[in-house]
This record gives sequence, C-alpha cells and structure tokens, in this order.
Amino acid sequence: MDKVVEIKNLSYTYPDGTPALDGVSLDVLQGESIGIIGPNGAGKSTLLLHLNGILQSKNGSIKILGMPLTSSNLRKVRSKACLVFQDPEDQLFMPTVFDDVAFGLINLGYDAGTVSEKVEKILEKVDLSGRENRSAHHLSFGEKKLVSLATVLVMEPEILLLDEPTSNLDRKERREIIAFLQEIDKTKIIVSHDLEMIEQLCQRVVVMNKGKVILIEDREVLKDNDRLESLGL
Amino acid sequence: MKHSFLDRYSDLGSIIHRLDPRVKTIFFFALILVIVSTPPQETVKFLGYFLMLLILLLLSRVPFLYVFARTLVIIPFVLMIAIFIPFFKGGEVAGSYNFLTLHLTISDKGLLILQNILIKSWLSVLSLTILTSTAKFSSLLKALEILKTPRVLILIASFFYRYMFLLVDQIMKIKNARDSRSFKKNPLYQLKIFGYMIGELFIRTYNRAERIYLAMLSRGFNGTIYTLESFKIKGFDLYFLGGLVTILFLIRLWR
Repeated sequence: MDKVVEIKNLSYTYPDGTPALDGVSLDVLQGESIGIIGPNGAGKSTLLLHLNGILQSKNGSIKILGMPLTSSNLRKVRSKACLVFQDPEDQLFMPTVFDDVAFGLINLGYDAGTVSEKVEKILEKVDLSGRENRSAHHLSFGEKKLVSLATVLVMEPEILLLDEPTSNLDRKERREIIAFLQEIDKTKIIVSHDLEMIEQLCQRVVVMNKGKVILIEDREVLKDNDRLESLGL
Repeated sequence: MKHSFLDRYSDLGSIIHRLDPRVKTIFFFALILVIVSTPPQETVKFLGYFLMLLILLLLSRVPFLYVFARTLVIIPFVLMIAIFIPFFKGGEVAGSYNFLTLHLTISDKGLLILQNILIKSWLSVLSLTILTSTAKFSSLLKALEILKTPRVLILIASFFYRYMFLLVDQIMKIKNARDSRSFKKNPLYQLKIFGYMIGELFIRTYNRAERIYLAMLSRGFNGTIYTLESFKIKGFDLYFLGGLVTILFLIRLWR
C-alpha cells in the first residue's frame, strides 16, 4: 500500500526552548487508522500540528501524499490533511454553523452553489440539518464536536488528523462520535487518551513519551495493561 | 453555560423579524440620521418618531419592558457628558442658585441642548435596540458587510460576538474558583486578587486567540475571510422600506 504520511527523524523545539519532538520517524499507510497515545506533554499534539504544516521544523522531513512540506504546496497539503482541534470553541470561530462549515470550502475556491450544496450534505451526514443559522454557542458540546468534524470533512481530505475527538463528551455523545468516525473511510491519525476508542478505531498504535516514539505496534498491545504501564501510560 | 443577552428575541418570527436585514439596517440608520438632524425646538416631531418606533416594536412582539430597560443603559453615559451644559451655556437665565460662595446659573439654551441630547440619544438607542432584537446578530453582520462596511470592523464584531460568551464563561469560572477559596474580606487584598484575575483572563484569551488562528490556518485562511451572501430581497421588503422612509420624511419635513 502507498505511504500517505512519511515522517523521518523529525525534531522540534518550541521558540521558548521547550523540546517537543526528538527524532520522530513514522510511516502511515493509505486507509489506515493510527492511534497516537502517551502521557501529557509527550509531543503528540505537536506532531499533529506538523502534519498540517502549522508548525514547521528544520530538523527532519515530512512528506504528505508524497509532497514535501514547503511553503509552495502548503495550501495543497492543508486541503488534503485536515486537522480537527481538541476544543471545538477553537475550531468554530464564525458567527454561524453554516459560515464555519463553509469557511474551508470558500478558501479552497469553490463557487457559492457548490459550497451551499456541500455544506448541506455534510450537515445532513452529521445529523445537524436545520442548524445552519445557529451560532456555535447555542449548540451542545457534542454537537459542537460534530460540527468541528464537519468543518473539516466537508473539504474532503485524504487524511484526517484528530486531536482528542472524544474528550469531555458524555457516554452517548462519545458512542455517536466513535460510530461516526468508524464510517469515515479515510486515513486517520488520532491523538487521544481514550484507549478504548483507539482500540475500536485504529489498527496500529504509536506510543510517545518525552518527544520520542517509543513503540509502534498492532492494537493488541492495548490489551496488555502491564506493558502499557511499563511504557509510562 | 448559555447566554443570549444580545439577541434574545431575535428569532420570534414576526413581520419585523422577517424583513430583509439589509432593509432593516438601512431604515434604522436612516431613522437615526433623521432624528439627529431634527431641530431641537420641534418637540412634536420627536413624538412622531417615538410613535413610529412604538408601532414597529408592537409589530415585532418583542416585550416593551425588555427593550425599554435596555435603552436606559445609555442614559448615565449621556448625563455624565451633558449634565453640565446648562451651567455653561449663555442665553436667558432660567434659574440661579447660590451655594455658599458658589453662584450657579442655568440658561434656557443650555437646558434645551440637554433635553435635545437626551431625547436624541435615547431615541437612537431605542432604534438600535429594536434593530438588534429583531435580527440575528450574524445576519446583521452580513447585512452590514453587503452594505460595504469595512471588513475589519465586521470581523472584529463577528469575533467579539462569537467569543464574548466564552469570555463571560471564563470570568464566571475564575470568579467561582476565587469565591470558593477566598475568606479574607480585606478590600486591598481583594483588589490584588482582582488584578491576578484580569491577568489570568488576558493570558487565557491570548492563548485562545493563538489556537483559533491555527484553526483558521489549517482550513486555508490566507488573510481575508469570505462568507456567502444568502439574502433575497422580496417585494414586501421594498414596499415596507419605501412606506416607512416616506412617513419618516413626512414627519421630518412637515411644518
């Protein structure tokens, strides 16, 4: 199968001097779902921000769908590898749900008719038709999470980068989001502490600690509690 | 936590609510211009504008007391600026008072200006309150955008509207955290804590802004925000606008 993400020896230090990534290498195959787990501060979210080109490191290399991350193809990469942030309040910044979902599409240069059509379709898919003109603060938390997903899915990306898709959800909302993600058949890279969800959604698991990848294995490893504990989880 | 203090009645669906937001925006701004430009002596005309607003308000079914209470907010600010005018303006003396060595005179011209400022500012605020209670904030923004308001202003207002509620939530959370642990009643100490709270709020807001910007970047933001226009003007909108503006100018030009 094709490699859609190739990360080679990536290191990154935040401008304030905090080291975040230390020699990370990882390949992700097409259609695969990968779960990245690890303690807080392990560098998981930092890695995600690199895959969307928001953070760029001079040390190491990243290729998304065979394209290296350079300023000239950043737009292309961002339309193919889409990131959903952990806090939907950050993801939803426009006055209405419609504007939020349409934001990415308009930036991609679609015409008004196509935009409306696509937005309508995706809202139907996440079961939120009729909320187009609502403001995000009038939605429940679970609905906000779904709209956040919709803002990105509508751009029809090849790779979904999800930061904690199930955090702060109640049991029902969590179940619904997981079911929804299961149906989406795209390459997914999911950062989370929710090991149960990772086990349900992902084939492979990456364990990170202190900026390093310390394990890449089949999801079966999640059943081995002792081993997880020995890895610092 | 949920708040809706800005557009609480904005989805009532009355005849006024259903008007095209552009029509409403144009009408209310025209009304304000006309109110402000009416000579102060023609008191009856102000009554005319007030009646007009009252009818619109009744048609919109927004509770009168709600609107009325909100318009009063402006009065202290206006008074603060205008209350001294009667003492300084020349003209016929309407009254004079002696306080110990202080001799104060109030002029009739000054009083007229004060009355003028009060009436005009109150009527203007009343107009804007009716406008914002009968249209969703988002559609007002869009209307203003179509009517060529500078984009920067629209964006500031739009982000402010989106995140004001979160900001209030944050303030409430920080306040609860303080109250649940604060036992000293010393006002100086409280003031110090208040300073910390403002600092904390600033840092949180700053961090949030950073994350929002990243979220915008990751969806292809390149410096300008575009939205789709989605209004369709109906014949009724135009008749309504035409009718109201005609009445408005009849009142204004009537002698």
